[in-house]
Amino acid sequence: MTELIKIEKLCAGYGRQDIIKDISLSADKGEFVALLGPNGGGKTTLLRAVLGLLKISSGSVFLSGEDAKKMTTKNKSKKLSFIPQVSSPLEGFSVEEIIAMGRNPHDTGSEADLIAIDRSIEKVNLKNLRNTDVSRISGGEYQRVLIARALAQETDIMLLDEPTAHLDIKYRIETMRTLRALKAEKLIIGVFHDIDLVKDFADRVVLMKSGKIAADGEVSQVLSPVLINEVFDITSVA
Amino acid sequence: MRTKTLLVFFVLVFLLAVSLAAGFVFGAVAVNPFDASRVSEMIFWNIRCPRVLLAALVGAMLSVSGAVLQGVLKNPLSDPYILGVSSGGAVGAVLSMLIGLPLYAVCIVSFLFALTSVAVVYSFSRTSSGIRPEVLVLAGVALSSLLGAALVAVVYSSDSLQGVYFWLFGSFSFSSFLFVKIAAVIAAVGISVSIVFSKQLNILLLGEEEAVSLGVNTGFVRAALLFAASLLSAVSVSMVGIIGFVGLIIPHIVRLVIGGNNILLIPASGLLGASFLVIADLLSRTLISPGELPVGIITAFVGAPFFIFLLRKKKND
Repeated sequence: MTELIKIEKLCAGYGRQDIIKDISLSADKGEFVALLGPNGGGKTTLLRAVLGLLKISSGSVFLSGEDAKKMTTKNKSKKLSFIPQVSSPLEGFSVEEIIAMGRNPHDTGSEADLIAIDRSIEKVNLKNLRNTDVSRISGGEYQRVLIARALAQETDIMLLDEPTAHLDIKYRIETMRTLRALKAEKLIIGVFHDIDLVKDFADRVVLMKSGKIAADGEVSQVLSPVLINEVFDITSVA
Repeated sequence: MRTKTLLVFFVLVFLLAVSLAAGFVFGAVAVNPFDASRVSEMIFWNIRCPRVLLAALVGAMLSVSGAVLQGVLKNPLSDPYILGVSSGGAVGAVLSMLIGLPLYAVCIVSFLFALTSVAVVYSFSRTSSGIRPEVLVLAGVALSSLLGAALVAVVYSSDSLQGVYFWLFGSFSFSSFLFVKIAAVIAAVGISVSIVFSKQLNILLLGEEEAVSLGVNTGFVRAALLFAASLLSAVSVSMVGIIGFVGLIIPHIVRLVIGGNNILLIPASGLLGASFLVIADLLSRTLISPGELPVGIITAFVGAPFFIFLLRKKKND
């Protein structure tokens, strides 16, 4: 059976300079994969390359066996959804309007849209905020809106770029719980900085340093004090 | 569509109908629609009718162009002239007046100069990863300054360019049914393209990463919308000169009332812009009748205080 995502010897970056080098990785439904590593390690670059926002200089990304290079933006967005860091929300759009944007990859205007939107709103518990302007809700609530939008997109793979970065501890845990509950039906790959949250919620950790994979495996294996010290270069600070 | 939105659209359509009726009837000479005399008929069909219709079309074109550019460039200060359309159009008009071309040729040259300015600005901001909106705005401002200086130099060195003020302040006094027909076709094309891509424009507001992940071909959508907005403003400038304020403020007024959703914002801006410019033109030709005020002065005097009132009201809410 083909994996949902398979990355082979991927090199990509900005301009002529490769930030990630020779990355190979594959993952399948039911996994919650955390990308961890020091700043500048290439985690976000890897996500951007998979999303098609960067030019891939060599290597390939396969989504359910299909070469991503040959897929249109629209077809790719039927397989991959993306949840960014919580930013300042757009003023003048309701919670429902933002979630409905998740239906863009599909031929919209059908009853399936309404069902998908309703289901997503229910899943992240946003019913009471449905018609509220997103500029009037909290950061944690907006993060739920972004998760609901990704759910409405009905993709098998969810990519997340530091989704808990600007949230307080309560909302961080809430976001991670919501994501964890979704992994049975999806593949979740996210960039995180909080090692404790990763320990509690992820299944697998990919440690990245200097654009390469330093370790890849189950949480208990990878998050050893020795490896963490080495990858984050903590001893040099002490 | 929610009840409030429906109500807003109903009010906007009603407002447009009332403004058109007022525009047709009132003026330096009041025309009684039931008066079948030859003079009334001539004033109505040859002068009043094309002028009022052109004002409505140009109002819609400038407002839609402004709404689209504010979204694509993610800059609330964007107006239809931000990419150099007005200065390009004005330089084209002045140069063709200088060599004594007839009115229709002046309009064509002005239109070509306006579109060329946008093309130059656009080419400056293109990078391998697509258009950079912030560079687009800065290049537009820079080119406008350069062309503005060239314009002043030409006007300063010539004493036979009284007509240039027509371009700098805007006027509907040269309206004709030919202009109305051209404007109607361009408005239909430009506004339709803007409406077709309005859903994608909403998603573009979220930023490049999110838009791509939601399946938007960002390069194509941006280019299509910039083309539509530039076409709308270039045709307006070439026919009636530079009418400031409408394209900047009308979308903001609509946004304060119905929110930022471009699916509603673009058509609503078109409707309000049409009414606004018909009324502004009516005032410009009646306030000091039989003389005429530049319509740009009216748009600023009427629009600015109203906009500040709305902003304050919104703040207090």
